[in-house]
Parts: sequence; C-alpha cells; structure tokens
Amino acid sequence: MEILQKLEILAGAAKYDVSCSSSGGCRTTQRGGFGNSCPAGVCHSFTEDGRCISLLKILLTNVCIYDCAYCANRKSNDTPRATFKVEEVANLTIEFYKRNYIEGLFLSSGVIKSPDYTMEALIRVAKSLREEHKFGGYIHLKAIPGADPDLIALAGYYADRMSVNIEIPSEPSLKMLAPDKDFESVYSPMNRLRVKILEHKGNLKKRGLKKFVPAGQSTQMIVGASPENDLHIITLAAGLYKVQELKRVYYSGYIPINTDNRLPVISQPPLKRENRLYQADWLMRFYGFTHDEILDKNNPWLDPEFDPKMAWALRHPEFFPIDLDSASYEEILRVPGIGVRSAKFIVHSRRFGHIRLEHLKKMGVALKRAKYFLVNPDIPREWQKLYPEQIKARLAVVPKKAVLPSLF
Amino acid sequence: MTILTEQSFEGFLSAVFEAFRLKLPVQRIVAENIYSPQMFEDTHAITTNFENAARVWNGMQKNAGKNIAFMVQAAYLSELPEMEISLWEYVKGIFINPENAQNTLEPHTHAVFKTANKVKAESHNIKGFVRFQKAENDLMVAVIEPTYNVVNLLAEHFANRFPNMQWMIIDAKRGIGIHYDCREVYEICGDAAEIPQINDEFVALWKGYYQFANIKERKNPKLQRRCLPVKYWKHLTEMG
Ligand code: SF4
Repeated sequence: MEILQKLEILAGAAKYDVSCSSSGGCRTTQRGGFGNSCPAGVCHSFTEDGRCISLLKILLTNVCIYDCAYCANRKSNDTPRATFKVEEVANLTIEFYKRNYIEGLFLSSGVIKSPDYTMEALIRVAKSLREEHKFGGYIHLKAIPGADPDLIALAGYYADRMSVNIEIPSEPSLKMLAPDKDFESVYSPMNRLRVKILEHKGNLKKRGLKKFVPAGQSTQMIVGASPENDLHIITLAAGLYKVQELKRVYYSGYIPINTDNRLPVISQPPLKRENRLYQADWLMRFYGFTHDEILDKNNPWLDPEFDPKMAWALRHPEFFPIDLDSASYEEILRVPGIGVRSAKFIVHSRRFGHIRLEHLKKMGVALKRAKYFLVNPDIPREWQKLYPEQIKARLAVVPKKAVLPSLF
Repeated sequence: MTILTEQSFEGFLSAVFEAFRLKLPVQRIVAENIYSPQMFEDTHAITTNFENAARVWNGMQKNAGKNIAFMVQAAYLSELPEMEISLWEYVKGIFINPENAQNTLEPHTHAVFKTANKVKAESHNIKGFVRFQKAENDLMVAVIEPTYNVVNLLAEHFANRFPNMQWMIIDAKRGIGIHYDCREVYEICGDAAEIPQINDEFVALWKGYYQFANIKERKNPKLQRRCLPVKYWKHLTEMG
C-alpha cells in the first residue's frame, strides 16, 4: 500500500483524538541530532474545523481486537485497514518536521494481538526516533489501556507526553459501550505514570537522569455518548487534575460514527456543550474555581445561555461589586469579562495610579459584561445595584457573537 | 523638529542618543529613505553610530532590565510610523525616571507594550507557519511575508532546532532574510528569493495529511480564519 493511502486511513482514524497540544516540552537538541521543544508549544496549521495541527497525529494501525461502540476502528466495522511500519512512521515524522510542518508526533493505535504487543510496537517507534535518528521534537504516546504498567513506564522515557483516554465518563457506561474495558484498565497505567513522574520530579537535580514524560499526562472524555451530566463530568475532571495530576483533560463532543442502539441518535455534535465544558475547565485550571462552585446538585448542567463564570457571578450577587483599586488578584479574576491577562495587568498597573474605564478598554476588558460588577468612578452607581435578573435582561440584548473560542 | 535616521534599529538608537544629548525638540523621527519633505519643517539628520546605539541599548538593559529592552526592539520592528515618537518618549523616560518604565497607565508606555506584544505574538506564530521546501544542494528554503519585521527574531529558534541543516528564510515583502550554514546565521538580502525548488514528494503527503486530519462534522471556517489569518495562507504548503 502507498504511504499516502496509509496516511489517509491512519490519520483519518486518529483525528477524533482531540488532544493536539505540543506544550510543556523542554527538550534541547541532542548532539548530532535535531529538533527540540519549547514550553509554550507551537501551532503549525489549522484545519477547516478550526482545530490546530501541531503534531503528526496518526495511528500505528487501525486493526483492533476490541469492539468499542463509539469507535471507527472497532473490529465489527467493515472498514479499510492499514498498518505502518516503524520506519515509515519515523521517516514521515522526520521529513515533516524538517519542513517545519509539525512540532512532533502523536502516536496512538488500535489494539493488535494484545495491549502489551501494541504498547511494545509504539515504544519501538519512539525509541527509533530518539535513539537512531536523534530526534528531539515532541512525542505524544498513547498508553494502551490494559498494557503492562512496566511497559508503559518504559514508554515514558521516550515520550514528552502520554495519555490514557477515559473516553466514557462513568464506569457503567464505559462497560456498556466498551465491553473489553473498565476504569481499572485506564486508571492503572495512569497511576503508574503519575508515581513515576513524581519520582522524577523529586530527583530533578540528579544530573544525567533521563527525562520522564516531562510534559505530563492528559486524557480525553467523549461528551454526549452517554447520559452523565456536566456536574459529573467536571467533578471527574477535577479529580483527574487533583489526584492524578493530569496536565490536561480534553472533552470531545460525540460525533456519531457507527449506528449502534447503545448510542444516542443526534444530528449535530454537541459543540456548544463541549465549549462550555472547556470554559468550566479553564475556570478550574486558571481562575481558582472549584468544580462545586461552578455546578452543584441543583444546577447540574452548564447554562447554554451564559458562560460558567457569568453564571456563577449571577448566582453570587453578594460577592460584587469589586473595587479594582483594592481587590485581590483572585477576586478580580472572578469578574465576568476580565481574563487572566487583564487581571494581571490591573494588579500591575494600579501601583502607578487609578484604573480608569479607558484603561480597562485598552486592556481588552469586555466592559459589556464587566461593568455591572465593578466599583469605578466612571461607572454609574446604579449599575451595581441591579438584581441578577435585571443584568440578565441587559446582557441578553447584547448581540452575541457565535464563535467558538479556540482552546485546543 | 524632525529627526532623520537610517532605517534600522541601530539607526534609531543612534538618533535617540544624539537627540537626548543635544536636547533636541523632537517632534517626529523618520527613516531617511521613506521621508518626504514637508514645508516649513525643520530637519536634523543623524548618522548611525554603533557605539552610541550600544550605549543606549546597554543603558536600557541596566536601567529597566533585559525584557524592557527587548520590548523596545520588538515595538520598533513593528515599523509603524507612529511608533517612533512613542518609542522616543518611552526610551527617554527609561533614562530620566526608570521606576516609571513599567507604568502602563502612561499612554506612550501602553502604546509601546501593546505594539511590542503584537510583534512578539506574530513572531511566535510565524515559528509555526514557516514552511521549508527542499532546494538545490540540500538547502531548505522558506518564504514568509509577515506583517511586522520579525524575520531576525526567528534566527535563534531555527538554528537551535536544526543545527545540522542549511536553511534560509526569506521575507519576500521586505527583500531581506536570514541564512544558516550549520554554524551561524547571516542576514541576507532577498534577491536570492528565486530559488529553484526540487520536486519534493513530501509536499503531496503533507497536503494529503492536512485534508485527512479535518473533521467535516465540525466545520468552522470562521474559527479557522481567526487562528490562521488568511494573509498567511499564500506561503503555506498545505493551502496551495
Ligand atoms: S480499543 Fe481503541 S481502537 Fe479499539 S475499538 Fe476500542 S477505542 Fe477503538
């Protein structure tokens, strides 16, 4: 089979994994080699769906012995199959990298023969890239659920990032849709990686120690293929960040690929919901919100109308208004319309004088939303006395821009 | 008074040095080659002096730190005509009142920082958008047309990444570029832009990959254009 054909099959099958990040790396170029990675990551292109291309994202093979209901590669599907040779993957990665098409490789795979066999095959590719070709670019390897933790730990010496996908956010749903998997098969490699990453962090000062998954672990959950609500999902995510110390949790709006009576019938992937989940995720990672502040038993779904930060502000009028001259950074971050960058800017600039409305505008604060929550001489006082319902009504007349923020 | 300089960062810093020393009443700073005389305008030409430029550069680093000096350079590279007077006021301020160098409530400072951040953002993005093509003698050549003059800011990144590869990045808009010969990076003039490209089999594979990675059900050209502005498409292999 031609390489182009294989690429079509194996890139096409890998594209549903939404993780694309090339960030968190810190590799320098080896002597006699090429390639490095920088903490910020680099996007190289964007496909028509608006997603970033930063890594060559492919499967080693789309042959699979399992039969997960939501997956294009399941064994019961009649679909063209292909398998890359180790050298083919290495060569594509290197030649793409040298032309600056990509930051590195994202390699996943269907399960061939057994999880261990598959994991070994992935390791061979990474090892060849690092050792034979002295490749210093980014490598993201999938940890195959059910593979021997020792093998997974070995893979970590070649990879910058590893991920084990949870895919389905609760164990009963997972078992129903993917009869060969359970949470144990996902959590056991994740745990092994976590412990090993920690060990290496502790020993950072020892010179000559090989890097171990320096960019950390991530995972992905499919949203909307099973009945779990948003509260369940962000609670799970919060635990993954806190207990498993993951770097990223990705949410992937369910796209119907197979017809299967265990799966819901939908006409459109739930992109709005996915977007709200990313916003909630950002609040947890960068804004100091906990999952139970964002949602609770009485409000288990994210509001389609207001972003989660605005929704929180509307439920907590007692927290506002905020005085930008005296409030803490953490408090300022909670004001709708003020992002991390503007909040830092405010805290930085106020040492030099009062922050006026014109400054906020220049900084890029969304005053349309922020103005109801601030004390400022330039803002009419009565705006701070509005009830949440009145604010809602005023916000509603603002024409909404229907663009999805890019969070990948 | 309008100060005329050579069109380079060193030229600009030299002018700052002289104007400051002579206490000139600066109203405008313009590069000589793009200057068109206006009536009743008082002009003063300042020639580039590398020593003076270095003194200003080092003085900025000493008074306000490396980051600030880099902000000044980045803002200069925007080539925006209104930038030079803000930069003049700002750099002067660094020497008169260094504590105020971070005061972004001050309009000139804000203008300098904002522009510098845009230039830095573009230079970061371009690191991803550079596309090398194989030319003769294993030379890898890329052409870019950035909004700001960022080509020199790419040198270190690509020299570190490809230490054993000969490469060249040409800014076709400005007729300048950088060339790396596996030892050092040189600034070049882009007359060499006409480089015969060898038929590169990986172009087709990359174009293919670009299509295969797209998810039809998620089509969102608006988002795509926001992340990857159309002005960059011309030199992206996958778009051709
Ligand atoms: S194991 Fe992975 S590749 Fe195989 S069917 Fe399940 S999700 Fe698909």
